[in-house]
Amino acid sequence: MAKEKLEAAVGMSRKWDAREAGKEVARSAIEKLSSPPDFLVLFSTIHYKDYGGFQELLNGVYDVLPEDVPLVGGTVRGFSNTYGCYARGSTLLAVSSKNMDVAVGIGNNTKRNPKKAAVKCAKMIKSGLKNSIYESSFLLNIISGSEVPNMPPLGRKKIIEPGATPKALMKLFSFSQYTLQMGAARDEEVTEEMISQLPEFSMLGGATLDNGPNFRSYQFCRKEVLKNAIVSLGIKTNNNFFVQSTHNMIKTSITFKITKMSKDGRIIHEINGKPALSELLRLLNWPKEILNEDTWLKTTFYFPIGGKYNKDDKDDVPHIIGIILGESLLLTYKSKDSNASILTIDGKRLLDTIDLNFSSMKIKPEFGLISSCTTRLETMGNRIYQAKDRISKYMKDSPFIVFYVGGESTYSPTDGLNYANMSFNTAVFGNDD
Amino acid sequence: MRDDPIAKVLDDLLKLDDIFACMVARQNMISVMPSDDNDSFKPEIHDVWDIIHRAMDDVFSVIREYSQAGLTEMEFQMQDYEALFFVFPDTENALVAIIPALANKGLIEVEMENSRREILKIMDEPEKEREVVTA
Repeated sequence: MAKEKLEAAVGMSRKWDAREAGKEVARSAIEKLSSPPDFLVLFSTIHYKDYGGFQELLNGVYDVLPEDVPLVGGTVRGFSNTYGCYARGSTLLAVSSKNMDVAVGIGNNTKRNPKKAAVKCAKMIKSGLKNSIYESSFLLNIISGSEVPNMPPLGRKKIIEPGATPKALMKLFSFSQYTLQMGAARDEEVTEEMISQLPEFSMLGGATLDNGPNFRSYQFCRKEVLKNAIVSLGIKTNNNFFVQSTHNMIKTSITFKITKMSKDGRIIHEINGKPALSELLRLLNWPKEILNEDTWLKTTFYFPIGGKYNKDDKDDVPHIIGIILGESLLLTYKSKDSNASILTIDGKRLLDTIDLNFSSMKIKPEFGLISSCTTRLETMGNRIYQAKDRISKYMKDSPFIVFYVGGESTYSPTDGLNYANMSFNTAVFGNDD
Repeated sequence: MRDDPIAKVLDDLLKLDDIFACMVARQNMISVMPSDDNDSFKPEIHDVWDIIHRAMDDVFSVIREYSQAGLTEMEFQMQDYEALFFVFPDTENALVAIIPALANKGLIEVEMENSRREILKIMDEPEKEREVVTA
């Protein structure tokens, strides 16, 4: 049978056993295609760790599909697709097209050396696509997400109370970050280097997660299960596509100056000339007791620090506080702006960001991949179905996957890099009409 | 009971770490429990189950009153636990789950919603088709 121009399908599995889930998610996708897929994108929640493991999940996928079909993916907090919205299970996008060349890339040790990881990954993409005749270039980047640092003898905690000197805390944190590779994802650094290596590629990115503790997440490339890696899918095609980021957060009246920061721009030591944590709590009018390991999810996520990612950017973007080290605040990604604010959002704006995003889409969608901050899923709870219904309105009957991650981005050569937390980021492909 | 497809939906829900107990219930009655019957609730709530169960029955008075008016969810917090009620539309019945008070409720709500939808689909199936349905 002659290959259709472009076919795409989404599969799903809610089976607990990893191997069975892998088979089901693959089968349920490819049974909708008339030709074998050219690539696969697989997302799963962390539960398979206890039900056979992720290697078995991938083994199950490749029980059904030929081993030369490229696959990238990773663990996510949840996902939505054409079937519904889920905090447990696995989902797979399978695409078959006459008008695409595809390559995958891997880079390792992203938390220790993000640049080196990106260079290696980009090299594989360039090599895989060097003979492609197609003009438009797209890259999906799935990068290992932030993990709570392990700082012996303090252990793994989101809040390290003042006690040790700031210098000692920074030393312990560095040990965790660079030796153990448990700490900040540094995924924005990986992304920046991918852009530097492949500037003509538009990109969609997201950082992998577990289901809450932020202790470990995984990335998938073909049949490999990886940690602390970037996995990328490069596509060269004649198909039209659209990438867009929105967050729809608004500034509160609380503004301040970041007066002392770590060299890498990731740790805020002082705000308004005072110790950062105490000053932030004063500005928010929060008692100290409100912040602890148990209340973390209900507090810090909802009052992110706003700042410009690039000094020339128009708007502040949200930065979530990753962990607290004494009086210092480790952000999930670096801030390049000393002028800061507190941002906020309500349920209506969380939903409206979908319309804001899709309203500039001018193509007829054939399939979509959407990286969305996990906070949107965790905040909306079962109302995430309202978000899914809004997306379906724009995607019509075309398959899509929303994958809920930590740290999201889009890049295009015309609009530059948009990196933020708490955002909604689309990559939608049309046909080549 | 062991072949009850609704019990199998509850079995799946109970496998989640933060679900200590789940059931389909109405006032003064637990209609469906997970497959292991009385042993199916997790040990964490054994000591508080009685008081939570009594409070649940009081909540069901509200559900009975307002379900037809579009009441879809209720919840309460008692000690270190929360009880979530996902009402079956226009009925006096609800899917109920007991979770830790500081659990990641958003993710649990997603799966509660999925379970509610699955149970509603099962309930909507004709009687004889339901006998051969397996989860």
